[in-house]
Amino acid sequence: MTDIVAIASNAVAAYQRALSTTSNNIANVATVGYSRQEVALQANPVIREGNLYMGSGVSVDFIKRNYNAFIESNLRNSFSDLASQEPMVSYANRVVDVMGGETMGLTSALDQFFSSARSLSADPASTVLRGSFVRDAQGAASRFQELSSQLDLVQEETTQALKGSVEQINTLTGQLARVNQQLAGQRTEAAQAPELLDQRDLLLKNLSGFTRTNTRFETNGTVTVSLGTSINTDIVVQGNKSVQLGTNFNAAAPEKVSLVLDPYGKPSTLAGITSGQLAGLMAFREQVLGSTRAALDKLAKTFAAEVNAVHQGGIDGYGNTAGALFKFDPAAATAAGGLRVVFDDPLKVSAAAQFRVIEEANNPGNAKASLLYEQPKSVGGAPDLPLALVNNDHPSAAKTYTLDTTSPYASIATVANGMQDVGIFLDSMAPGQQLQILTRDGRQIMGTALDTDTKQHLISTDNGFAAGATYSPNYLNKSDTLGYKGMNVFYGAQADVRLEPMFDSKGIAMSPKPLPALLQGTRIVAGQSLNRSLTPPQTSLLAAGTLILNDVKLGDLAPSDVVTLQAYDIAKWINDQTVDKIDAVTKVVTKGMGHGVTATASNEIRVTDDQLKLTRPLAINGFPIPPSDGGYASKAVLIDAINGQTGATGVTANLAADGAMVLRTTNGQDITISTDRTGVNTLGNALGLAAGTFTGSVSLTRSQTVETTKTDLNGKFMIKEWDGNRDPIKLGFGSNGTPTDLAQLGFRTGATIKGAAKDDLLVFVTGAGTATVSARYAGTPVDAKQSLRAQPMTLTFTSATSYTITDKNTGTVVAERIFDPLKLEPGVQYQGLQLSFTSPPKSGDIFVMDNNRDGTGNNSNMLALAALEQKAMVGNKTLSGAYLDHVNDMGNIARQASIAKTALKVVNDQATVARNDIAGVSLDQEAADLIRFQQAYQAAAKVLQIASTLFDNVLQLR
Amino acid sequence: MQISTSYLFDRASAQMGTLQSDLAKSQAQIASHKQVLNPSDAPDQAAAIARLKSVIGRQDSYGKAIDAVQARLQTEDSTLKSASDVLVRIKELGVQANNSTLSSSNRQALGTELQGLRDQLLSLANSRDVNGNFIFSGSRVSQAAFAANSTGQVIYNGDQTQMNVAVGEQRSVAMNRPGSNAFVRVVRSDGGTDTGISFFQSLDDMIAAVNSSNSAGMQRSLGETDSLLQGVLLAQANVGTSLKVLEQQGNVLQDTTLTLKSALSNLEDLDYASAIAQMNKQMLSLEAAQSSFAKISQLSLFSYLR
Repeated sequence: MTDIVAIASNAVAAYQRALSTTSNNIANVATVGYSRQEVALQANPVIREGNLYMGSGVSVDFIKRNYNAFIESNLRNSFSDLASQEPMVSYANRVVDVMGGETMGLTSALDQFFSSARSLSADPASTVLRGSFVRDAQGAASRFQELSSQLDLVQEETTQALKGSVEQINTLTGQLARVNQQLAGQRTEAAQAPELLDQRDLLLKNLSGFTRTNTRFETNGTVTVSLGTSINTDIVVQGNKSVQLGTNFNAAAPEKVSLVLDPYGKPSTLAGITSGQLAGLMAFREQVLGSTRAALDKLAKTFAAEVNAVHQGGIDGYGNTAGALFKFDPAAATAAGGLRVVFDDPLKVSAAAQFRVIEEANNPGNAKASLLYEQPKSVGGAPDLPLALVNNDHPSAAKTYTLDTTSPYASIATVANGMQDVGIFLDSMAPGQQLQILTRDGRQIMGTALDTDTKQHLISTDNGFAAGATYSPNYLNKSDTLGYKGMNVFYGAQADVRLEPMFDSKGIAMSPKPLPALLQGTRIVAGQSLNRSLTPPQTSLLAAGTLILNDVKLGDLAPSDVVTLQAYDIAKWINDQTVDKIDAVTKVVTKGMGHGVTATASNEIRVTDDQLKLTRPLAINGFPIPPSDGGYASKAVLIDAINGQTGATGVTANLAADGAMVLRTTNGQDITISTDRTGVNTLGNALGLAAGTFTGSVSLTRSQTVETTKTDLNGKFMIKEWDGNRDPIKLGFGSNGTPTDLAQLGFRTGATIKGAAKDDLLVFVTGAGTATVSARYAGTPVDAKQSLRAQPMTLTFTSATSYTITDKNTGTVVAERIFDPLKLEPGVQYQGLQLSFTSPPKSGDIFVMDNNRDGTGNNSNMLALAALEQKAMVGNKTLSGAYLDHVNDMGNIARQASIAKTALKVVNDQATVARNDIAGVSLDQEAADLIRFQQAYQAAAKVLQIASTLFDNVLQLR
Repeated sequence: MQISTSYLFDRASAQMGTLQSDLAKSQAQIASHKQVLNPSDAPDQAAAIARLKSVIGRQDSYGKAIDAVQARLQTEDSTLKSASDVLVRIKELGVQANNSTLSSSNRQALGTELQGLRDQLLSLANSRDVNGNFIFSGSRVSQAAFAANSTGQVIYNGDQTQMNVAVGEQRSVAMNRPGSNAFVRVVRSDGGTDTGISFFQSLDDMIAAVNSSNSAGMQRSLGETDSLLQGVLLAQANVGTSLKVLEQQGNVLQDTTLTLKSALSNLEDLDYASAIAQMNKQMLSLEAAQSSFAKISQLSLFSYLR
């Protein structure tokens, strides 16, 4: 009997629990993260009574939490993926809307700018239109700035969103750590409170919305969370500990951000986050924001550069060369944000071309000319001087060129217009070789007049000459008013007045003191002698007129009483012609022609200590220096020994200030060094010099006195003729002179330009054999276009088929060319200037090309500016095209993200459905359960009642 | 499969939200008469619209250029017309003066009239436009086109710059003629050598010849006047051609703009019929969703628990 009572009371208790679980389910129908609970009922153990097994009722085994780990993990991952698309969709759309909008976008501002340029081109003199052009330029610049600041805003917002996400993550991981702590009290998951597990799963799901997570669950339900690629890296939650996350913004590329784990402990950079809102924000900043900023900056730079290039190519309303239209504010963070218009003044807008043509009023022909400037295409010829030769005129720095019979010239270098104080030197040349310097139009500046054959070889476009260039020697080796554009040039050996720096008593620099020029030769060529046995006998070593000293032709070099030419023979030869002579008998003064130039011969051999081999013997000029078998005790002994033989050798020795030993002859006579008398012994001599003859050298200087007396025919005027402290010494060539002739006398040939080169000059060496060339130079080339503008030019048709171009400032004829009357557009091209004619010009027609200073009505430059609208300047796209394409690209990224979002939403929905399937609470089901458990409860209660009745029945038995 | 109660409600509200936002978008399209409300809705279409608008804007600015050039050319045209009339009169007077029966005092009377006509020509050649710029000075617009030089000869002072103005994508028209192209030089052969004689010098020589009854001079001047007239007429014809070109170009521009605008309309403007049909469809489905949800949500087992 008691069994029934026990069974019934157990059942009542069990169904009460079932009913309360169902009630709990109903109560939590709207609770986020709640998992449905079920009671698991279990039959009580059977009791054996005799051979019967009697059931003993029911009890609640446990309360089951409807949960599936796989589905939960699936839900988290799909939630991460979905959340990562959201920022991309919303922010990228915003960027696209801002940039692609009609009012905010760049295209409308650019359209307005170019439209304004076109309007101005129709009336370039109008100040009103110039003003509106400036305003529209400012409009374009400020549109760039506005777009940039809009991007700044988006950047700031996403920065805040990023920081907010990171804070949320930190909160969630902290809460997870606390949940873990509570879970740690139990050994198994089944023993945990279901609500605690629900809380854990909800926190994990929320965390996965910000970033993809890796999780590992322990048997008691505690969770380890990592943000890395595996569960063991970048752990943020483990046990009751959580690790903080921080952000690190890159100052150089502000759109880039990296995440730092444990920023205030042991910071480590998080490798990469693949999904979640955080990843979406970072992807947006890099893919859309960063690339948009870069694209906008590139557009701003290209726009400014292209417009400025055209703008600076013209002249403004004041007639001046225009400056830039746009500039960048260096204080601005980005190029687009810093774009500014340089000026407000409408007259500074450059609408006009920099050149124009004007026909002379009295032209006999009716040809109308028009002028265009086009940057000359790269011209041929040798490289620029600084690229061809180092700036060092010492022979040791020279470069070697080989000339042969097939090409009797070498193209050395191009001296660009504007280079200063250029000197080009020729050393160790073969006989007949010459330096030749010509303009691109064949005007020869220095060298010797070219023969027909050389001209034909040399003057070609390949060598850097202009097409149609012709040869002219009119300016050959001429300076100043006679020279090419007034240039100061010299070809030969030249020495300038030296300047000695002067300082006053306080050490302050004063104007330097001039010292007369000194032209110091090197050793003359050894062994020159007249061969009188020839038929006809050789009469001179250098024919009269070969060399010219300061405008004086030097006569025959025919020493009468020598076998071998000595330096003093040359000095005498020069002095005989230059220095005043007083007849010993009559005392009549014959004026020399050399303007006070005197020549001196000397011969010095320097021997340094490390050269000396005192054990070896020495013979000078064939006389042994005792002891004849060598073995000088010291340098002093050797010097004494040499000086002991001066009577025989004519050579003295002494010590220079620096300790080197110096051998000299008094008159510059040759010194022959050998080991012994015969020169047979070649084992070296005491001086350590190569055995042989050391020739003397010649130096020229000028007396310091001022020669001012020159009386004219009437004996009235005193004309200052030369001044030793002012005038250089110039040893140049006569008609037949060659650099070899100068080298014979120990002088070096150079082509020098004092001051600036006034045009591009082409440098050649002509002849055959090898030659070495070195150079010195200063200055930098001038802008070719501005140089052209500085020199108005006259184009004169000398006949119907030929023309000359004359530099108006100097009267220099810079080009003489053949004209082809059938080719009129362009008919004439000169250094980028292109002249076209409506009909063939006639002989006598004159056209003046100038710098268009007062051509305010000219619109060429504004036309060129308006044409930029359709120029492909960003890759093969126009400015607007490139901009729109970029906006379109960004729009496509946003659209892809949007499509991905839709797809991922489906995946997430499926995961949600799957979770609901298991863990969701359905009120219908709960209602059914309620009825079921209520009925069971009522039945159990009835059983209890019946049992009680039964018991009463038994009690009433009397 | 079991549908949980909260999921049932969530999904229904999400679906109705989507339908509602679609409906709102349709409504906004209809209100603004635009297919693309935001560039992000259809970036490629928005880009195409922006491109078309740029091109249309450019056509508009060509139109403005045509108007400006036309005004300028008409000024030139009327000036040249007057100049040719004056030259015809000068020629008549020249022929009259060349009549050997005329007395020198009669000739001087003609000379006075010629002088007046020559001065009139000079003021015509130095005409200015509305901005006060000389129209025949080339680009030296602030200098009178013709003025006396130091020797008293009236010569051309401008330059040879001819300004071309773009009036279409591929078409540009010369806006001005240098004065020396209208008031041309004549070539005078004296003893075999050709010299260019400026327009006004030639007229001055004629007046001098008439005043001094120099018959050889008058004869030569008659020939030269023909050349002068020829030059002015040629320039006038030139202007006329340009005006004709401008007119044609204006028509071309109008056609082009029309085509472009209809293309733009196709891209940009909304097709009301389909948009309204679309909106009705969306409204229907929203209503259906709402009413079905209202019904379904009432179904609950609890309703039967009494």
